[in-house]
Amino acid sequence: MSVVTDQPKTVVPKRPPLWQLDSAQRRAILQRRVRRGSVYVLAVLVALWILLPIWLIGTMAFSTTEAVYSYPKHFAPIPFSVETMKFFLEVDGILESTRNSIVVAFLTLFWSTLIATPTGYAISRYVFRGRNAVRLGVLAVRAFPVVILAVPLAVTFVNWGLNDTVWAVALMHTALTLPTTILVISSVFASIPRELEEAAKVFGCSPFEAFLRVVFPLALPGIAASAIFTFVMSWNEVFAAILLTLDNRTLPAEILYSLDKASETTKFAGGFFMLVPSLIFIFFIRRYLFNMWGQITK
Amino acid sequence: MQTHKVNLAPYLLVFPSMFYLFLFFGWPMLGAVRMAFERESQIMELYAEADDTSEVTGKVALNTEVTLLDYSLVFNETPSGRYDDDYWYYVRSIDEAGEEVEGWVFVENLRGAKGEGDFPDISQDGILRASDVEALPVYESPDLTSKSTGAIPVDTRINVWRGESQSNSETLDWFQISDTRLKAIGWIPAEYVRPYFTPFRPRDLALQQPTGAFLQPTENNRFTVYASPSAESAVLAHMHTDSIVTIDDYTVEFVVLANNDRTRPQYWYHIEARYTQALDGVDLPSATTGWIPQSAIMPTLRPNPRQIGLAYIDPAETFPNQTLPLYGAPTDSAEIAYQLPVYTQLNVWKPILASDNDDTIMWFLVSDSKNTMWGYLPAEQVVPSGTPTMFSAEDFKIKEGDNLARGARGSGSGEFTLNFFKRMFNDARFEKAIRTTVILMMLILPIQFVLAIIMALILQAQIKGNSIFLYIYTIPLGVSDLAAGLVWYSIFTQSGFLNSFLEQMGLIEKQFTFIGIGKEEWMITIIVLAEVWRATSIVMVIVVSGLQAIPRDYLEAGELFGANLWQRLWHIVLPMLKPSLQVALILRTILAFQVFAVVVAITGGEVITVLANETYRWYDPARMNNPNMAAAYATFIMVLSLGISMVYLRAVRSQEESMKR
Repeated sequence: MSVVTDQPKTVVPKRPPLWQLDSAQRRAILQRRVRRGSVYVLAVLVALWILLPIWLIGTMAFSTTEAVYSYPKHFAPIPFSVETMKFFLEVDGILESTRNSIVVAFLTLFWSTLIATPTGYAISRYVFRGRNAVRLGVLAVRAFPVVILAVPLAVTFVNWGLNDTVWAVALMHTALTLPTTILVISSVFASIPRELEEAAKVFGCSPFEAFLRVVFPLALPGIAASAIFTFVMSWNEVFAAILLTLDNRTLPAEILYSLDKASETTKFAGGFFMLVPSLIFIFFIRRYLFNMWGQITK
Repeated sequence: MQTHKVNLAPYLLVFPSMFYLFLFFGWPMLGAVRMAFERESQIMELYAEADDTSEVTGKVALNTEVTLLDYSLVFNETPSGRYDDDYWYYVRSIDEAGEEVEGWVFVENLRGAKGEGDFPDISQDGILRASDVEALPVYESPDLTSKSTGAIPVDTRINVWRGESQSNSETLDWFQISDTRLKAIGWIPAEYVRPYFTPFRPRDLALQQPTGAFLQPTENNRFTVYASPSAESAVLAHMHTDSIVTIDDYTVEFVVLANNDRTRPQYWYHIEARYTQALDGVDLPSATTGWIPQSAIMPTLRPNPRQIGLAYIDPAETFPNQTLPLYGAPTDSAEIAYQLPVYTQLNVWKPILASDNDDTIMWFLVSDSKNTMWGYLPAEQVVPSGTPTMFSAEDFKIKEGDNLARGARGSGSGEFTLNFFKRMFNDARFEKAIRTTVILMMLILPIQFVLAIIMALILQAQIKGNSIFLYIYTIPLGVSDLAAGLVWYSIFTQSGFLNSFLEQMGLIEKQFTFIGIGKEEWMITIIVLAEVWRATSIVMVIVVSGLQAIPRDYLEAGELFGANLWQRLWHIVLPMLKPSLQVALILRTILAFQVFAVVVAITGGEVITVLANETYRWYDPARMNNPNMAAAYATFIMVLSLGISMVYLRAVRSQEESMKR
């Protein structure tokens, strides 16, 4: 398991001051500086490209309602106000759907992690007939669009009497997130040296004890990161949610459904409100992200 | 040493997720295909005639909305000699292939717009009227020359089922009628048919028995109880106004006002009064019954059971200018007080049962609306106001706004059909959706890949602050498509940030419209920006993992041989990245079919539409409400994705092989 930041730095030998160098050397150093500088400029531009839109919608979310409807708009939340955010949260159905979203996300996180952990472990630790089939199957499923599942599942849930409940959405989201969770968790287990487990067994642990006492604690941060990612995926998912629910909508489904009647304040504050968990969670799991997505491609 | 015993542990560990994926992934996927190719197991058939052995003119999926255009009654003779009345409706609807179909449907196969059995009530009660005959013949069809199917006695109640205007030489309405026991059914000219009305019943004019009342206070706290409803009659008692009074009957006296000819109706109430407290020094009776005028009772508590009626004689239109005698007493031997024109509006005051030659006949005490004429009319000459006096064929038409129903029952079992796909391919929006989806894919993917490689190379350069850039570049991984759509909407909306910026820079004079009808190019541009903004990070992460797999020696060797940055990128990095890029490409292509919330958030999903949005539109109960069509779209997307997944899997394998090498 390797992360970008883990890469060994090339050791640059201490070079003499610039004036002691001949012109060719000086040119080479300058050239390198220019190159470094341009990489920096590029890096900052790309960062701005990502951050600026978030800053702008944040500006809207924390301006007064008056400022939201004003033109031309300010590019910073001056005066700062929670009025718009408060207005959004008081819109009919927003709090309920937020609660639904949180419940669905937690149910999804729980089910997905619970079901994926054994499979992830099996794929990373055992060599068994059909292992490749399982892996490829999971990969193939990962690639399938939610669109084709949502329609027949919605009809099935109607027959089961589960439609329009948080349970239906959670079951669906679990199916959607399961492949990713399996792959990530298997990569987490793969990164834990097998020798530790074997050593535990040598010292008299049963295989289950070895897993519980040695492997699991080591894998826990990675599993937690994957669970957080599962949470974010469920929190963000809108297509299945809008098909499966009518009155008990999740937050994205509620916002999408009421878009054409929603005021600008609701749209902007809602957009920002949905962004916030992602910003926080991505910060916590950023170290693992490359694992997750890197693994998916392998 | 390991034995050859099969280790069950991995299978047990893998089982739950495989089972789950089967249940919620494999099974629904098959379900989608089945729904797309199999018509609803029950189909409502529309027939050419009101007869389920006639030719089928159309097939409509259950729950499809149908418009009721006309109706017909089929009377089937039962073994007991009676008939069963079966309604058939002529309806218009849309079949699975999206074409308009019309035909007859049996009532039990339909469900009213609001629920089971909720249909416009069309049949009415009538009565046959004719002078000098006892029974009237009814005909097989609205035509005097057609066969007579029976006779119905006059003056009996009938059901009027249908009306039809026959215009031969003159327009003539015909009605399809039957007796109430459905023994004789047929058509009869309108002139014999009258609406049957429910006459006033004594109950309509009764007091809410017995009703309590409070008395109007007087100067000396006394009120007078009379022996009969007249101020001239004997005084039974004087009672205290605090007495408990119960009203059990009433009558109306018409008081002639002294200064002009007008009369004023005055209620007299028959009461029972009780008083328990003895008044100091005065000896008053503790209980009595008798009559008091309405003025003794508090105004708001005076019972007023008056009804509005109409003076009516049957058939009125054959006797224009007809008048009715208004008797001074409830018997036709009494003197006639007034002559009342028919259709005079009446105040109906009180029903009176009068015995007349052993016959009990009901009379009504009535007055005209100004109360200048008053007297007694026999009950059959008083009808509730608002009663129609004649039917017209128009009364038997299904009314606009009351003509919606849905298919509720049908026949037939699951049947293979291509209708859903036919309808999908013929749908004007399908072409738009697929075009937009493909255009978006072709615009987004190249930009995304170039940007992702640049971002990956920046991260790979390990510049100072690398971890901050890493965080920033991965933020979009957690951003939902809906949020991304709203973010870019806030920038490009009419009074959004971009217009604000451009105007403050002095580049534009007035707000430019980016989002709206006729601005398709702009809206597509915004969607591309939003998608590139949101989804490039995923590609970037894949590229970064690919970059990490490139041995440093290769690059160093390249540097050694004097290759510049561009040459190293083109000849070493990109070829080595090929498997990763392939994977990312396929993943992004499949995800491109799912573009949904971004499009809806930015454009509203009407002017610009994509495949996923169409799927939702067909499924949405508030719009198309057709899950089969949604399944057809889903299957279409699945076939596209499947094809690409095949390539995907092959790419994965080739990547694994290249890793092994």
